Amino acid sequence: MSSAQIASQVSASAEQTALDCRGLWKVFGPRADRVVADPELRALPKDALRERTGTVVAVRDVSFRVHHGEIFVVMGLSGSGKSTLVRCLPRLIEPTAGAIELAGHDVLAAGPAELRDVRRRVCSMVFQHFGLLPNRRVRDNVAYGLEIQGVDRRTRYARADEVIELVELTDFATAYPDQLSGGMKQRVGLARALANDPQVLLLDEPFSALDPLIRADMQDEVLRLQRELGKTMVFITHDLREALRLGDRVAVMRDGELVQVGTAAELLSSPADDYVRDFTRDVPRALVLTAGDLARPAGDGGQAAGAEAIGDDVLLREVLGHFAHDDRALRVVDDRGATLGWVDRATALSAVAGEPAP
Amino acid sequence: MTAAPPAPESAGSGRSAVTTALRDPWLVVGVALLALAALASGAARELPWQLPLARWVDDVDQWIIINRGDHPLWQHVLEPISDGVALIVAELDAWLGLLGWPGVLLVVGVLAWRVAHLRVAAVAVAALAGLGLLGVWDEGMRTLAQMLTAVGLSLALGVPIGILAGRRPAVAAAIRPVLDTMQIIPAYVYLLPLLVLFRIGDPAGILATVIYATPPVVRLTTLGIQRVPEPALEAGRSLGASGRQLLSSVELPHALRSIRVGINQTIMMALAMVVIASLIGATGLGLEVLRGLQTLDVGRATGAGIGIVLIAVLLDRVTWSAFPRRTVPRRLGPAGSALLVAATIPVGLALGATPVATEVPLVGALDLATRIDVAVDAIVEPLRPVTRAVSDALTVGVLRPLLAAVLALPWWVIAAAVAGLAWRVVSPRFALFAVVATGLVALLGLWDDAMNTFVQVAIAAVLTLALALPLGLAAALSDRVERPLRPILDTMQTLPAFCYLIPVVALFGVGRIPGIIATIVYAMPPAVRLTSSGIRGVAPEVVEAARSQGVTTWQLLRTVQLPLARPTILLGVNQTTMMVLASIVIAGLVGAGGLGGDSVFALQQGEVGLGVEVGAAIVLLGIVLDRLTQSLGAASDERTRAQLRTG
Repeated sequence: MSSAQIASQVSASAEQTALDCRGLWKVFGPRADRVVADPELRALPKDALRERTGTVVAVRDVSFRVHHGEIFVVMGLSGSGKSTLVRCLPRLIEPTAGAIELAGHDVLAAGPAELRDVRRRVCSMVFQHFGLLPNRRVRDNVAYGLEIQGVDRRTRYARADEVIELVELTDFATAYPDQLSGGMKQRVGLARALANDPQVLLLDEPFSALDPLIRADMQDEVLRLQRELGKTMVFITHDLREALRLGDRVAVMRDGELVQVGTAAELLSSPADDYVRDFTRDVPRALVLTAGDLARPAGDGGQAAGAEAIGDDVLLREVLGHFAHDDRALRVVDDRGATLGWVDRATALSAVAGEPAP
Repeated sequence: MTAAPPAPESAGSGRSAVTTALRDPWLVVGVALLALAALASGAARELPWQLPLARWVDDVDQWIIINRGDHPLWQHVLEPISDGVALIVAELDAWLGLLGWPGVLLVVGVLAWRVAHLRVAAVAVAALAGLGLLGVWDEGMRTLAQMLTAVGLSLALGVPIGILAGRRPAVAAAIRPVLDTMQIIPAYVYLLPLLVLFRIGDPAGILATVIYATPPVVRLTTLGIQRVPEPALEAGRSLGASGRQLLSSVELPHALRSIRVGINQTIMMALAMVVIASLIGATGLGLEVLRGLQTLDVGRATGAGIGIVLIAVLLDRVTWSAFPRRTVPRRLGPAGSALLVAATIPVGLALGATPVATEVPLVGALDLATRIDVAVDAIVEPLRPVTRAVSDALTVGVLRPLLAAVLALPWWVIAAAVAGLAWRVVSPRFALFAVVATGLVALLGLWDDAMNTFVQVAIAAVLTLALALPLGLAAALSDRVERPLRPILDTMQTLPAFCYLIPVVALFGVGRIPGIIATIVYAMPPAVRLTSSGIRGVAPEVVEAARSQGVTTWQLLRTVQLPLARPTILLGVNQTTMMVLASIVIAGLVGAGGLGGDSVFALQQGEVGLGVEVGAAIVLLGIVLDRLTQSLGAASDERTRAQLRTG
């Protein structure tokens, strides 16, 4: 994505911004703020900085915006700073420098009371290791956030039962966490986060501790919830497949910096550097890219208006299936039936090969 | 690590730090020279000057006696504390008296049922009934009132401190050395300052108990709060919980298990103090045990001793079950339960006013005290020749010659030897401390008594370890030994030291030998347990690797299990030594002499100056023994690690 494109997108969506994070730094160690203040130290790479000042940079000058209703995925390997980044957003970890705006709240300027209010009503977090309270039943775990806010028992149980139903755990409302499987525990974690009806959900590797099959289930669950509730989500993961599957946009993080931010198709088709290229090389395009990613405006008008229509969320794999026995281009439509563009055989094949479209 | 044939360095490392120290040429030469010099010069055993600590303390004590009436410290701080404690105990005692035995059984039963459940209520009622049937109801109620007060104060003090320390590492670091020191100070030592400040009576005894019993609940509350899993805390914070909400909904529920163990230990320590506190005027069952022991009235001591254990069971079971792991929804909420318990009080009072309540039924008919006496005689008399033989052999064969040998040496030879050992095993700085400590004991004029105690400690510790280590080894190697042993050790470890004195006094009479024997029984469990768990705790993959190389059981033990279990076993040695010291001092109650005997004398005669001197000597001895035995473990721990690295 060119910078001009980014600029236009930003101005168009400024009003729809749910989360705006600008120039965020987190440096661990003695006198961390001097590192950010000093232009020379700022520029030092991680190892040199540690040698010189004894500090460790976890998040380095990170800026991004998340739109309302978007799933924004931050992807990085362990040690890339992604968990620190997400904890900085509700100030579970105090950032060293930068600015965070969460649904109109200036988080870093907030006093203790406003910060509590942000945590109670604006954003909720889901954790890799669930963080359930073992001495409470599922219902009381889910209602915990409301209990903290001083909501009366009847109201909070009613709300808890609603979200428990939403995550399909109704039969287990009175079970204790240690009676549940990992996947079920994380559904409780999800329900607890949803019970506050937050505008933004922060998910820190929520499915990394789960088995692959259950993980896929839970990913479907997240997509379903987002469709039904339209929540904004910041989703942290180390799994590129998960990132590409869930993210409307994906930010790739490395050594505390955002290397590239873009849609799945953008990451796959135009990686920002070799790091991202290496990363995405082995991703099976056919299972990630969708017809919507490949759709291009009609070129020479060769594509008839009567061409066969497919939805924009159809995977490239299905598209290839079509081209296996029919080489006419397909018309890509969104869920309201409006034409987004066309996909022809050559585009589909070069996408699979990981090459730029002809 | 593989079980390669023992490397050359592992042969040397099989020896303990003591052996290493003794083989150190300059040390041996130094000690020998000193001893020769002593013998040659017939050096003065007497010190030219003695530290008149007792006189100074007595002066302070006199000043306090004269001025306490109008000094603001007493007027505004100490007297109110003392009066408050006395008031609480008197009130509790009065209410228990008004309820009478039927009322107490009813109210405690309902209370136990509501805070715990029916089974616990049954245990509580049975324990109380037992008190009545033993014929020690009134003393028991007195002790119950004291225990409720002491434990209540300990928890009110200890839990908040523990929470604070759990949340703030700086506080934890600040109180740790205090707790560590408190743990090695024998119970007697706490009594003296309280005696000086509060005079003889129940408040002094109860406050001593509070000070003695608070450390475990502080320690375990701290531990519990520190160990709350970070994800749960983070989840709470991310939902916007305030500090207090985080404490009540996340930290305390997670720490509950640990706190519960702390409460349990606090109750046990408080009960261990019951007998000792009676030395400074606390009344009740403790005084009964003390009188029974001192007049060789075994029936009386046993009855009261069982009474104390019954109260322990009562308090322990009810508090343990009052904190369930999970919140159980009940038909009757907390408010309803409180109302129900409150409602039973008038009923209990009405029952207490009936004529039935004046005397516990069946006591006269059962007459358990006499029966115990008869039973004890029936067991003891046939054993008398055996016990006498053991006693004589120990006295003539070990105790007397050893003590004579130690006392024949001038104090400074022993001081030099201790310092040399301290230098080798701990550090030069500690060697200096050891010299100062030994010198102080000599300067206080308590040298002979301290050596008497030290020799008893040494004999008891060696015998304890000689019995416990093979037993622990057997328990580690064979499930058939371990399984029946475990519950016995569990029970033994929860009983306070005086419980062992009663049967031993019945068998051996009074004196030093019964003290040593009771001590051995008292101090054995942790040594057995730590030996066994140390060996069983060796990583199974290491054992498997060794097995795969074809080692025999004996080789496995010698080359793998013992070296790796060494730190745990040496921790057992340290614990055993400290328990032996505490118990030998307590045995002063039954005529074991030494510093313990001095303490009892000082406490009972109100000889405050002497008491402080003896207390100081005990603490100094305790610190030296603790550091020396602890460092054995640390030194060997390092060696084991080094060995693992090179292995």
